[in-house]
Amino acid sequence: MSCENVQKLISPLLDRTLGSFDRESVLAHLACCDVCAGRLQALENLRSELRRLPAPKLPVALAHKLRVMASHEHARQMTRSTWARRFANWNSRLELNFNNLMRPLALPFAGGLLSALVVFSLVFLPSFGSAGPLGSDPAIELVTLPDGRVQGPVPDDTPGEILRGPALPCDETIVELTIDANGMVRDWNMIRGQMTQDVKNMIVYSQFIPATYFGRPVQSKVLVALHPGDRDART
Amino acid sequence: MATSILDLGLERTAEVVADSDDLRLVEALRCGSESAYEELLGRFQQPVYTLALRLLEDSSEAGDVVQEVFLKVFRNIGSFRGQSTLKTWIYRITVNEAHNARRWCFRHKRREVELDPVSDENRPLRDSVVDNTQSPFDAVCDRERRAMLESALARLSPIFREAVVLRDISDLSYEEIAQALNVSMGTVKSRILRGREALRMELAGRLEKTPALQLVPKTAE
Repeated sequence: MSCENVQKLISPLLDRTLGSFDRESVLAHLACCDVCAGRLQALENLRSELRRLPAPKLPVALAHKLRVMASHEHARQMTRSTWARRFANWNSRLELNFNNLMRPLALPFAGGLLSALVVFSLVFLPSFGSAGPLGSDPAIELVTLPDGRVQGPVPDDTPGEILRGPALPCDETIVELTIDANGMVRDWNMIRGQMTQDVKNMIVYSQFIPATYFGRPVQSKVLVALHPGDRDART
Repeated sequence: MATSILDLGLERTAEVVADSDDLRLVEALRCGSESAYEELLGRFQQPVYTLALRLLEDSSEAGDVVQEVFLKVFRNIGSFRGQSTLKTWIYRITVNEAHNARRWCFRHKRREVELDPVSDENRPLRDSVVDNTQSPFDAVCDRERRAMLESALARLSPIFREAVVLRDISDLSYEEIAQALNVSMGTVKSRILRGREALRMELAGRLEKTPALQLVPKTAE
């Protein structure tokens, strides 16, 4: 066997992959050839040096990363093991994404809504309905009827009352009074009954509140009924 | 230490299919056993890192490759059919990932300049202190020899380097290397032969053992 062939077989010889026949032939050649024996020795040294190379130590940070990655992959595998877990995982992810999307908007949205409610309530609510007047201004109605107290010559004597409705009592004396803007009786007209001293006293001593039209006192008419009672002034 | 090649009858009988231990581990991984993940990392994280570092000669790139490898292993363990050993399958993924990383580096990093090169002098004192089992002279010789060997290995063509590293450092059989590199047995033998020859020529005359420094006491004349 030539040196060239033997040198091609030295590497398989080192790895013990040569057949027995080739092995014997190569060993026989090596025993008598210093060049090929030197080549074998060099390759053997090289291989032993390579095997003596120390294994580089795994960095601690890398080992931690691998453990974290293994943990993530394990969790990922577990969530995909059954359809129920998959649906639960999708549901939780959907919920998480929705919360992540909505939570940053929740506070500004709620703040804006509350601010709008406060502003609208301050601006618009007082003008609706019949809430009390602003400040100390008196209530102003469009039209008010005359009012007052029908009074006789003696204090606390109330011989009659102002009629409010359209129906007239049948057994009482009724007088139509014209009230001016100052609440004074300007004229009268007997609707039923006769003019007596009691009627005159009532006209003279009664105090009236004039009717108003858009807040301004105006002249108006009012019907006054004198009650029949224990007084002799019945008409 | 290398065993003598004259031992007859020690032909290596490599297992090219997964053994029961591998199958048990794979089955546990498929079932989602947490301890299986631990076991897989415990068994393979150091060898995979060593292989990646020997193939790339860059610790940061090797770290990235290791993460990619285990990510692929975890996600594709279902496709492992047991036609090779688990180790061979993982090594094959490692070699492919290292190949991809090398191509990426070639495209993107060749024009980068390292501003702060890390030298041995910058290592922590704890790492550089020589232990008591070796004299400083021997330690320096070993370190220089190791640096020389790693440098020669780094200059080797990647194709040959893969074969030599898998055979002489990772200690895979020819059949396992053929499976890991996805090439034929003849190609494996050829690559190993040519890789070793290239290394031998690169290191010719520089790997001989240097005799340890010995101080010989002499009397003063």
